[in-house]
Amino acid sequence: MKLSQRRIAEQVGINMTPMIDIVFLLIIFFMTVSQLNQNVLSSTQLPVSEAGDDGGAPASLVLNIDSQGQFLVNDKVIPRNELDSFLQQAMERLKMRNLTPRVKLRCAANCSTTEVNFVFDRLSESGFETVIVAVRKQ
Amino acid sequence: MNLSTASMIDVVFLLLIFFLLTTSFRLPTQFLVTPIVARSVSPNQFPTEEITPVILTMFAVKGGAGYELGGVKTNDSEKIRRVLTKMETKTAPIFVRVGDDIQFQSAMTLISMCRSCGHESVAWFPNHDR
Repeated sequence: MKLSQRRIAEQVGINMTPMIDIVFLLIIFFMTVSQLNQNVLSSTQLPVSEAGDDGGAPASLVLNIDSQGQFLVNDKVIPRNELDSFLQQAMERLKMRNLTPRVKLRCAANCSTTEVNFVFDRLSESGFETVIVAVRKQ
Repeated sequence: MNLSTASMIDVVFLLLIFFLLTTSFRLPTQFLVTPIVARSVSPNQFPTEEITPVILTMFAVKGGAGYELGGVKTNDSEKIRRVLTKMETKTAPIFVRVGDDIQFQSAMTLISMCRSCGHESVAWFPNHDR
């Protein structure tokens, strides 16, 4: 029996084609599921400050004021006449959950102090004693 | 046994595109902790002689902002900075009363100026006449 000495060398390799399909599926999954986070930390141009620190404990409420003077919480616009009731409800929720009322204010640098004064006044009336103002370090 | 790496390059490119799309760059943020002077508090009725708050008023003028500190009115913020630096008592609270129609950046500049001059207790005094 003469055996052929020419053996066709079998190429043993890992077929990558299904892996590419899986990668595509994963990418499509993450692109549809993940939220490109621009909610609270949106493109607000914060004021510049010489002084500043890390602000201590995290805030229980983040309030944004954009350059048009609109009040936003989690990307939701709070009308001016509803700010009072919103803050009071927020304060009640914080008290019920035994959380320290800390408000973080992200206000656009070119926003008017008319709106800021209004917000500070409303915050004070609702029982918030301290506001942590977000700034960019100079 | 051969491992074809040609497809791996495609996978790497795809991962690169994924992370480029999902990465967000943010400027580092710092914070100024600013107490609010309550409506019930009047700067003129502090109970003790030890605590005498300093009232620093900022108001809108043509072309910018004006300042009033201790009865002195000026448009020059550097003058206010010199006064704040020269003040002997840095522990007295400073109530910053900011008028309307001023850019918020200017107000923050004033508050951070107070802090950098050594005054730690700087509170925002809202306009209670609303």
